[in-house]
Amino acid sequence: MSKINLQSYIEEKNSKGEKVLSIFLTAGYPDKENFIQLALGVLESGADMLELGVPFSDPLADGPVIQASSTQAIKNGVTLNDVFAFCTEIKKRTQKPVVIMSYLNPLFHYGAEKFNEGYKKCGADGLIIPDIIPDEQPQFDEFKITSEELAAFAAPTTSPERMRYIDERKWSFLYYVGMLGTTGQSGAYSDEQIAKIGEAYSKIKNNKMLVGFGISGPDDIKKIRNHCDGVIVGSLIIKKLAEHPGKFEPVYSLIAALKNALHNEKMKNEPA
Amino acid sequence: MSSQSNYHYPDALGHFGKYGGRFIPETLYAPLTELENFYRKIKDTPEFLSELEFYHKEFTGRPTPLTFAENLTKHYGKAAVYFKREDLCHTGAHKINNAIGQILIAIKMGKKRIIAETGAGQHGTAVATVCAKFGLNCTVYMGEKDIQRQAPNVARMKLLGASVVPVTSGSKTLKDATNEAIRDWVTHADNTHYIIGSAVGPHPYPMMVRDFQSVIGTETKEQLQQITGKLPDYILACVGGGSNAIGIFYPFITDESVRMIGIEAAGEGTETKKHAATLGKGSDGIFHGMRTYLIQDDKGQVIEPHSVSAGLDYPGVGPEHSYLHDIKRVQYVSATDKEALAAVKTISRTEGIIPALETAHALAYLEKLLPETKSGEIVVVNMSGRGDKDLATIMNELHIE
Repeated sequence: MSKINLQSYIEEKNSKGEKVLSIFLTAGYPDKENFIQLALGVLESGADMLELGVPFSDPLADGPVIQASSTQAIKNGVTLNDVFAFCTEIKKRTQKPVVIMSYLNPLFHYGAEKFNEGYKKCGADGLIIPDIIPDEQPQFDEFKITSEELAAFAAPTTSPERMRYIDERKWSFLYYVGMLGTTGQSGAYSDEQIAKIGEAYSKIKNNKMLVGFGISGPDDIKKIRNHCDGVIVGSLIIKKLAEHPGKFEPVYSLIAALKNALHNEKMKNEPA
Repeated sequence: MSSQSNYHYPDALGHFGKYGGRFIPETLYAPLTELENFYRKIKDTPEFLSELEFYHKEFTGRPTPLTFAENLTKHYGKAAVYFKREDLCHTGAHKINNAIGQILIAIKMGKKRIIAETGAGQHGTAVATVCAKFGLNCTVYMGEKDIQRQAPNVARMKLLGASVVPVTSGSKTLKDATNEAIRDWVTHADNTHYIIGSAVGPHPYPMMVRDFQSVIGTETKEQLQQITGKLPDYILACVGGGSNAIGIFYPFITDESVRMIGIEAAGEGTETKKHAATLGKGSDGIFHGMRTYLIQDDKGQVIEPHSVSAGLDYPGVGPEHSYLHDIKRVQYVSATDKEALAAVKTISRTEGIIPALETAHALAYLEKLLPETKSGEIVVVNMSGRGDKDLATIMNELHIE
């Protein structure tokens, strides 16, 4: 199956008046055996896009929830080869995009050429690396992954000049860190945070912007949805999995609720 | 601060050859750039340098002596051995050189809150000390396991008014404490400065910590010049993250006749899995915001290292050391737990100085090096810290009654 261009995919959704719901799963969590079933269930429940997280021992940008799932996945023996295998299997059974998310070190250690081969073969539609900034991109050149397949990040601390610099290039999408800090922080989005997101969204010209970090439920999504092209939810999902061992249904209904919040009929003319 | 004529590292992006740089979440780009620009602007101004010198003299106790190790020198009958006495710094180790420098920067930047990570508690104590002195709020992240192992330093930090936060993620030691400190900083960078404890982390930290620690080498050069009129033939320093080592090496980097040796912790032996010899046994990697040598498994997961000394128990190493290793300007070797413990006893009894377990790794190497030296040569060892904090471990391991 052919690679999906994420920017066009998001654009197409947007043109139908839809925003994109991207769901993050730590690959091989809670276990390796049922992971593909979980991933497909997540997509069937309403996720428009799936992020497969490669577990890493020192996930700097993540909070305790994803960290713990990462530690568990490493204990489960999940490797980059497993992630490629998961991706291959999932891509056979969905028309939706699947992207790989990984800290740089596991990729680096795997080797650029070998990674490129596995990445292409598994049919992944993009790559998210949370610890590489555009300034260090040359050190990633040997991986031969085009910037159109990579996500760029921006945060509330990103200056307008830097935002322009990042937006000069076309990325698979712009991952906007809606809340300062690590993933999965508790507490709803504040008006100030929403204003920051809106400000960033108004400045982005060449890329699609998805907002993630600390989305705590449908209410946050309702606040954010008019200021982005889509949202990314991770910790909330992982937490639900941890709370209901052996059961995926609670996660599926949560995703349905998130999707519903994103696609409320009042979306277009609702006040910001 | 000293500068080298034909050694210009790091480059503008913080790279030492291919090492160093900034491998960080975008959120930290702004605070790191702000810090770098601010630091570059003031670091060589006469006002800042005289302020730093003032506090070093009044508070740290600088310059520290360069002590001739007479008995040891006589015992081997070869090169003359000198100790650069960082153990005599206030709080008992070189860590305060960096803590003072960074807190002055933080104050000038208008930061109200300081965070730090600590392993053995030496850096945490230094930071708690300067925060008390300059009246800043202080939070120290420390692995739960280290809190149990290093009770005296935990008590010191608390007495100094710092809040010590136990870290329960990952392996519950220094690397995880560093992760937590970085996570805190990502969240609170607007009012908070992160005083990293070694010459590690994303740019500009490895450069800034090196600059603040290079007072050690600068003083050594002057003192040895006064005493002997010569440069040393050898400089020895222990390497964990590598701040005391880069501090004494840096001012000598372009003095080609000076042989520099960094001693890592071999733990139970570099042939076992229980070691902390990052340069000796690790491989190229990306960790704590920098590209550097790293102790990792075949999947690129970071492995918890082992050393009897909590201060050398770090899976990474400062990126400048990775570069100096690759270009072979510095030779990196290792000493085992046993060799370090034996050196503690030897140096205590021959020279009347109880060294820190970290420092003892450098001292242990004297036994191999000195017989190879010639009479008239000079060896300087960076006595990076005193051993009081390690007494319980030392007495227990050496079975001294």
